[in-house]
Amino acid sequence: MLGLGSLDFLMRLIWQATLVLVAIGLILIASLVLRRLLEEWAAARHRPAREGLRRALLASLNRPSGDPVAAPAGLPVAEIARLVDELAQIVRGDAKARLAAFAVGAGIERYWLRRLRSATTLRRLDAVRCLGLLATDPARGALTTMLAQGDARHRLAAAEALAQDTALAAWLVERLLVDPASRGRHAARFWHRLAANAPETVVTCLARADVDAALLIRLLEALGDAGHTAAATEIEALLGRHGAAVDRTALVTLDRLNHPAVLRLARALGGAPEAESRRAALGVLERRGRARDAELVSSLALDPVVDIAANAEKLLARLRAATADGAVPA
Amino acid sequence: MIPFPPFFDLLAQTTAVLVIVVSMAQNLLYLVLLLTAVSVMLGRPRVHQSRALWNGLVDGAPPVSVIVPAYNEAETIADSLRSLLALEYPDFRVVVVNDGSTDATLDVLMREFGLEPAPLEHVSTLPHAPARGLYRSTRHANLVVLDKVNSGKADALNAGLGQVTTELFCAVDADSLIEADGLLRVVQPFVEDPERVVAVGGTVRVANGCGVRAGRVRAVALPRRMLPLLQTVEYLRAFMMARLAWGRIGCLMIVSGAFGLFRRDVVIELGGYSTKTVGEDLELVVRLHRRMCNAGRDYRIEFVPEPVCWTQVPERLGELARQRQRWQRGALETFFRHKDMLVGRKYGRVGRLGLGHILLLDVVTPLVEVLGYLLLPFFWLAGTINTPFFLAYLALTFAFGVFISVASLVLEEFERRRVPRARDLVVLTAAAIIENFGYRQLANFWRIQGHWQYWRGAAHWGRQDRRGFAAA
Repeated sequence: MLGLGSLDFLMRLIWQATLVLVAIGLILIASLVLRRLLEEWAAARHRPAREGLRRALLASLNRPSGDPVAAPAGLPVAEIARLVDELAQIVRGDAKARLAAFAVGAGIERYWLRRLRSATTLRRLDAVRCLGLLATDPARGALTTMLAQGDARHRLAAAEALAQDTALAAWLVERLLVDPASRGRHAARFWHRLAANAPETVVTCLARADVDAALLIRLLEALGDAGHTAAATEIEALLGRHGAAVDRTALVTLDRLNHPAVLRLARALGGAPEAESRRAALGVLERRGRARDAELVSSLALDPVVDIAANAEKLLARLRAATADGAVPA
Repeated sequence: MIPFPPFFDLLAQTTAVLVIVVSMAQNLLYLVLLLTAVSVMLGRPRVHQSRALWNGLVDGAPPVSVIVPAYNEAETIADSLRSLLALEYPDFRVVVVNDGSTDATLDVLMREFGLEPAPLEHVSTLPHAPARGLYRSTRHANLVVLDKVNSGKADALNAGLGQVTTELFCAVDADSLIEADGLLRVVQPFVEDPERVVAVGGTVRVANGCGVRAGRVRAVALPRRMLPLLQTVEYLRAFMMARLAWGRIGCLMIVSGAFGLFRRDVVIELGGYSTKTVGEDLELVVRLHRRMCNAGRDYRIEFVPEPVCWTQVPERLGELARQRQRWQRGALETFFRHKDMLVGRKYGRVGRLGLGHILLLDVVTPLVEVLGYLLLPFFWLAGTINTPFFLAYLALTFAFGVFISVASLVLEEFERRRVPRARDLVVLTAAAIIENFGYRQLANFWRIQGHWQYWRGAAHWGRQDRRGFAAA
């Protein structure tokens, strides 16, 4: 018989540990079902009050000077906070400010400030985002404190929330420039928000000596997203100074901003030694190329990088066909 | 105890140890994936609501082409296309490739979308079966239909790529429904990290039982039949646990053919989809990893856990068997085509872990598990293996499966909460338990059949039955 001596202990351990895991799983799911049942019961109980509040708030926010709305007694603050968060996604400008005023009056600010101390990261991040809706001193103070957190996600979420206030833009940039997290992909949303609200502040960063290539790429992407055409001169000035990755992003950004010189710049980059630059240049030529670019495109069709060569060949065929039709200006 | 010759004991011991070792390796892998998925979920920032996502991306979202290969999809194509054309996305174009359907697919498209012939031109040079015509919709400026000679899904996708001019393209199954904000969600990683992200996959959910109106899932509900219900648990486990975890580890080896977003230049550089496999989605992503590793490029293949796509799963055993056999063949074809990645130093963890898990879960496990079903109960009854050993085997084969399925449900309930009611959660929990007793064994049997077909060199897709979506 297969007893395998010492293995018996291991076998017992396996089936006993597995049964414990199954029991844990079933207890967890049972508790989640119970939680769901309680929530369904509470939601059904609060639904009329919640819907009434939603209607009143929407009616008030839809009018330029709507009557202030009072939160109904008995509706839990968590429910009101969820409703405010939901409405904050769909209102803009003055209506958003009035919604924030309602939130403060309904005690939601305190609720979100409390959730900043939650043990769950998701809840804290959520609270940071929600506090960004309110332009109150306590909210601002709490978010500023979050900028000093050890966890980069909290710092970036707080920065993104604060970036809604244009008065804080320059100060925020100084804080973020010395933060290594500002170069990472998770910082993209912060720079995007900043570029949308205070594009000039982002533009001034482009010329700073303490801004490295990784950060320049984030700034360029953000300016492209924001469609800030006034930044074109500063972006053009970056070309050839910070390496291929920046050149590529700068060219793509100028293309997105419809800068008049983008074709000239693409022609210059078409002969660059870095494949990344040549690929970006070809991308611009594909969209904007003219008959006179055929020579440059011909040389790119012989490129050692296979996708550049293949795309250049296609473009060349298109340029020649269009020239024959007289559709592409020389 | 029945007296057996000595070699029988040796055979029993070897088989039992092999089964236990492989089961332990498989279950340990699942445990690691589960813990990784939990850590990803705990660390993820709040999921944006559709409106916030739109506001954040409306200016920065790159144009996307959606390629829909369709073969005999007359039942579902109109609903699927309506859901695609109603996507919340600033700039997209839909390219339907009618892959020589023998049913009324093209007629339905003509009738429902007002198609009219257009000049045929290709913008990429990927080879594919001859095209018969190109049609543009008179009702939707962003819809074109390419009609071509039948040559399989991969070839249809390559033909569709010939009509794509955007930097990104999304491959979508014709029998799938896309969430309104699905494209926005999968584009987000590209927008956040355009330099490195080359492909993004999203979560696919089971549409059977859901109410569908105007090409949208309006009422999320569980399937009423047992077979799709069990597949619902499977899909939850595969997407909520496995793909999420592999995405974090950087070894996501498959972007579902039902919904995946890719960089066009990279896929064209690879030569497009392989027509020599029935698992073209898996093969493409493995080849993508290979190319990126060979070129020493810093890249990412991301996974988005939010549900982006709903698909009809088979409701009949025969149909499901054919699907699973095909998946198994696809996995084997891909594994053996790229097996050198297992040991190549430049492939690092993509080779060791990514290909390694395909070896363990798709190549070895089905064989060993079926061997266990057939022999271990017999060895135990014959008294050649003792009770603790047999209990360990049962625990690893049945109980651990229950734990993993239930844990995936817990994860889903913590994070996504797409199961509509508490009652449904109870039903799913019951399905998560039941699937380990019968369904799982059946699925392994189909996989063995897939093995057999692979070694015999079968290359067909098998008949596929189509049903329309249930009305909301």
